[in-house]
Amino acid sequence: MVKSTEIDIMRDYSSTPAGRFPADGPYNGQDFREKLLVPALQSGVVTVRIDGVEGYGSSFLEEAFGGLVRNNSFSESRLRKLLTVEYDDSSFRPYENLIWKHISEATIDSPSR
Amino acid sequence: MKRPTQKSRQWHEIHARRLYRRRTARFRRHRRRRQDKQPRASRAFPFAISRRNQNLRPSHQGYTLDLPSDLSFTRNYHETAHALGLLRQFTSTPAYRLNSLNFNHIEDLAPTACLVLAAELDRWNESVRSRLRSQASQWNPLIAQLFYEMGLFDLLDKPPPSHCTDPNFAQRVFDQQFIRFSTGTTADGSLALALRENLESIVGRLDRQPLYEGVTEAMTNVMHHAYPEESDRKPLGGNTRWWLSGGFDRRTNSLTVSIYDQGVTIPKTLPYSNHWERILKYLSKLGLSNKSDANMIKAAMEVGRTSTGRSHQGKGLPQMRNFIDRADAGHVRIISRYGEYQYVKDAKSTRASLQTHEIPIRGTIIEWCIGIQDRSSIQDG
Repeated sequence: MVKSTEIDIMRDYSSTPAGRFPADGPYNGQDFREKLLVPALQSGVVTVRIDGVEGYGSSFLEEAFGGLVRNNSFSESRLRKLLTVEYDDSSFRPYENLIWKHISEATIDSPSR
Repeated sequence: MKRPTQKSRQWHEIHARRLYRRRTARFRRHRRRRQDKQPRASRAFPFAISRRNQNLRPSHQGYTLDLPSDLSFTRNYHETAHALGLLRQFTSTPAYRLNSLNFNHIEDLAPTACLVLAAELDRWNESVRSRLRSQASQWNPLIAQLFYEMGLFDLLDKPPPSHCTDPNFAQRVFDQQFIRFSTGTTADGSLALALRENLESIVGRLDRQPLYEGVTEAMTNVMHHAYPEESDRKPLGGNTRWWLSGGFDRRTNSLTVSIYDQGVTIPKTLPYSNHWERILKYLSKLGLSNKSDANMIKAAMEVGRTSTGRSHQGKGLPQMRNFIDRADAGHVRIISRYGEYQYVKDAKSTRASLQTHEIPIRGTIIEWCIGIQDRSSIQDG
């Protein structure tokens, strides 16, 4: 049976995510990806709720989601099946588009994926 | 051998005196040049520390630096950048002694210029192990009060003048309110949140996402790009640092947020970036063979915005425009070394303009300024 996990960034991680690497700050993209996102994706389907936070810089989103392709060997097709992005606040829709854009661009950069 | 005659003795006396005077004058010139140790102040090096520099006055085996009467990059760029550049030159060069910084000529000031001044004073204070002493009781009381409200004395950990007790002085007298200076060495989202909350306490609800994006991306850029490993310049104290402030001017209904770093500047970091080839292609596509600092900043803004794939970094700088795009009117200004890039939005259109200055900024300033018409002109989403 495929496990289903929900990650609410505001509730489970931080309301002020920023930066790419641990050296940039405490709530950074690499840390989010390695501590929450990758373990959940390895065990099944993941729904990521992105609203409620202050906002997302491109560095955080790119490292958190683009890094799945670059660093953790997930392919875009596999992520399309496993990963769902949700939000109730429509002002966060651009971030969903950005997340998939970063995943696609990371795939272009890594043609073997 | 013949005895010298009186005539020949007189001749030798006169010429010996002339020779002595010539040699002494040459020696004095040589000694003065060695003391100056720099070429004359010129366009090539505007921050030469020399008595010929009009902002400097010799005092007690060192110098006093006079700040200009109008401390503003918009109204008085040349004098403001020159004075701040000289201050940096002193703090970077142990051979020269800066005895004091004279605030008494200041009659008007702008938040962004004050932020850069605060950062340079912070650097100076750190370089002398916090032994900087404030003589703010001798300043113009209005100016001292404004700097007190901006948080200059807290930033430097110095006691404010005794007459600075009213935290709302600037609001009562000048119709301006300031967000106190903050500084950090990480991309700290909580400080960006605090900035937004402080601004909203003044102007009401703001579009928080693009402001947060711009500020945190600017902080992240300082971490990653301000001091590239290939550069020989290292940050003072070993930490890459940024300084942040904001303010609201009721006279013009404009909200300003500024962030500043003392890194090697955008034009100097671009050759080390992953986007360098694309930037060169962009410049040649536009027929811009001149790689001026302003053109480089514009290229960095455009290449990051339009790039697809090929590099996962360098997408942060174009986000600086989002806060302006979501507002009714405003501008974002990036000043780095000699170049200035300004992206302006008004009721009719958006446009980008470039400027090249004669005096460089030794770091990068990003300033957002939006018009607040009726305190609800900024809408979420």
